[in-house]
Amino acid sequence: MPIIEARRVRKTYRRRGKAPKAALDGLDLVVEEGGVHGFLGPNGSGKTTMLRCLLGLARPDDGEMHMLGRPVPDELPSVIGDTGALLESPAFFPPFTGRLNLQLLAQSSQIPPAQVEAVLDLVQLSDAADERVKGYSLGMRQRLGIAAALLKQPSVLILDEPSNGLDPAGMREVRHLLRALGDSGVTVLLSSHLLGEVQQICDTVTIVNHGRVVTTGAVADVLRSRSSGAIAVGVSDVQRSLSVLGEAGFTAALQEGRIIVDGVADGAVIAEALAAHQLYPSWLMPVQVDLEQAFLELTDDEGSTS
Amino acid sequence: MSLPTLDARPTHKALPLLRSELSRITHRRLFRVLALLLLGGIAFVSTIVFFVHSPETGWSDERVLQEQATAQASWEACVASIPSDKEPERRCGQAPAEQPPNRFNYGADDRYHAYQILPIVILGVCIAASAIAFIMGASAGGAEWSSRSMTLQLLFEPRRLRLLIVKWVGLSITTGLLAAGAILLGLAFGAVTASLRGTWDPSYSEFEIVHDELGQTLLYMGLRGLVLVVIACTIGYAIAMLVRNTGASLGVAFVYFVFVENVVRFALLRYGAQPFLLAENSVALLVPGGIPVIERIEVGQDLSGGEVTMQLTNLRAFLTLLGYTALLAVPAGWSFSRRDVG
Repeated sequence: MPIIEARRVRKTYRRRGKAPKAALDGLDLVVEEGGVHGFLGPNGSGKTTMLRCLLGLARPDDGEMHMLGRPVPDELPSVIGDTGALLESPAFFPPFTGRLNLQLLAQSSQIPPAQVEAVLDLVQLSDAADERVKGYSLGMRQRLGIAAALLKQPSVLILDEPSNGLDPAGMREVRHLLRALGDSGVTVLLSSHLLGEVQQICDTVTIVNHGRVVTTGAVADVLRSRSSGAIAVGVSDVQRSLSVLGEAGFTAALQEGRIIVDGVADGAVIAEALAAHQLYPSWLMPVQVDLEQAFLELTDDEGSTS
Repeated sequence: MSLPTLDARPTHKALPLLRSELSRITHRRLFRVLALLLLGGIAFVSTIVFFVHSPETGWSDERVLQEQATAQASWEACVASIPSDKEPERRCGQAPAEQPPNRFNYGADDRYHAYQILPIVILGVCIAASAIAFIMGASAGGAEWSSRSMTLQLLFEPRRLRLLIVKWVGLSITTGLLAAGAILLGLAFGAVTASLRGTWDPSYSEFEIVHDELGQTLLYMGLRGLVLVVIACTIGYAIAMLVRNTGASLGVAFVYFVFVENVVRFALLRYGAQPFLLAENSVALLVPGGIPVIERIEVGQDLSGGEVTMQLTNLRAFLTLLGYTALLAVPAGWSFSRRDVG
């Protein structure tokens, strides 16, 4: 059963003096239980709007949304206790200390005070917990936001750019934390611009653009679907090898000092063709498409068609 | 890295939320400063009043005796000027010495009006507390929007109206308690002044309503004052929820009281605007029995006529203020429950 399921969600913002802007244009989002689900898209693609709709902060114009099997926002109060969220920059009361901000939130939901200390410790903010939030760096605020999201010990965690403002060590800690949460059965929906991060820790991914889903599925499947089936070949005599491969019917080109052969599933046929002319490849490597490349291709395609 | 397992799932009950709100409010440094300003101001003003109020004692008795001697002398002169067979009492009245000194003899002495400062103390304290309550209401709403902490709270309590009502209740309790404390402090200082600088003897009173039931009058004034404080806090909070900014809320109040209400008061006086003004209704709610206001001005064809006054009673003032509060609070609640939250 999907933990988060949104179907045909539409949201249009009316703008004074301008044409209305469709932030969500029939967006579908399905997140299965457990693991980390990446939610990607360029700026203005509708990611945050979708998350805000799920959490009841914005009202969609149309569509259906379910979280933990309950329709939201109508039954959001019954699932909010199991849902932790961090949206964009965390919104704490600046004159209060980090600890007090969390204590007030915990008190409102009857969460024991020990949990406040535990989450502060988890995000390594215990030492600065008695400082006012207005003196926090962006990274510290982000840690506090993650702490607030974890306060309820949620089974669903919705995070919008959680690594924003964190230093490299902090980003790595957050990655480990999210991966550990995902492995422990928590369903993490992670919206991020850091495609490397998403590729590293996400099991599944949904890429959106212009308020619509461009592609969704397991990260490996998405990468495979964007793979061209090309193989890079390392040889000593590049020019002769190019001519041999051309004569053998391969589509080969020189790119960045190496030969790229398109449309070949098995490298052995390339090696065989070259060896027949006493040209022996020193290496053969399938050309990998990373998530960044897939993302850019997908969103560029989408942009050009819309 | 792991979290301790929660024994119970987070709850979403109103009482813990209210407790959290009360903690949030009482931890606000601005609110503490405002409370200190109010209570400190009352103590400061009361101390000054104590020292300037009838500092000389014994003066009045001497003057009353002097006035009585003068009156006696003129009565005796009057009696002496009338033949003995002509009933001098009919011409000159009763001998002044036979009349005990009464409140009219002491009318010029502030000491014998000292206890009358108590209703004025409540009036002043409640108006000051209402202003503070308005600022607290506006700041509570505005600060939450500017810091977006309201958004974070909605992730813990998504029932917006419930959250709004709990916040309003928390603010009302806080401002109400602060006002009650301020009234008690003001009354305590006032009572000390009245005791040491005057008399509690109601026979000297010129205000019958105070004369008869001073304690009850003060109690009812205080309770009406608390109502005014809660109304002021609600209006401040409602405006802040509509404009989502503290400064704008205070600006709206400033422009209203300094410009709009004065313009309306004078420009529309003849059309009966005065009974509907916030300032008049606020005072009318506090003053025992209300206050007289100009209902309209009637001018005849020969330019004769004049002001027609009416009594703006406590009840009417309360209903008018309640109406204004509803006019702001209902759209604020509706807007908060419907609008997108950033």
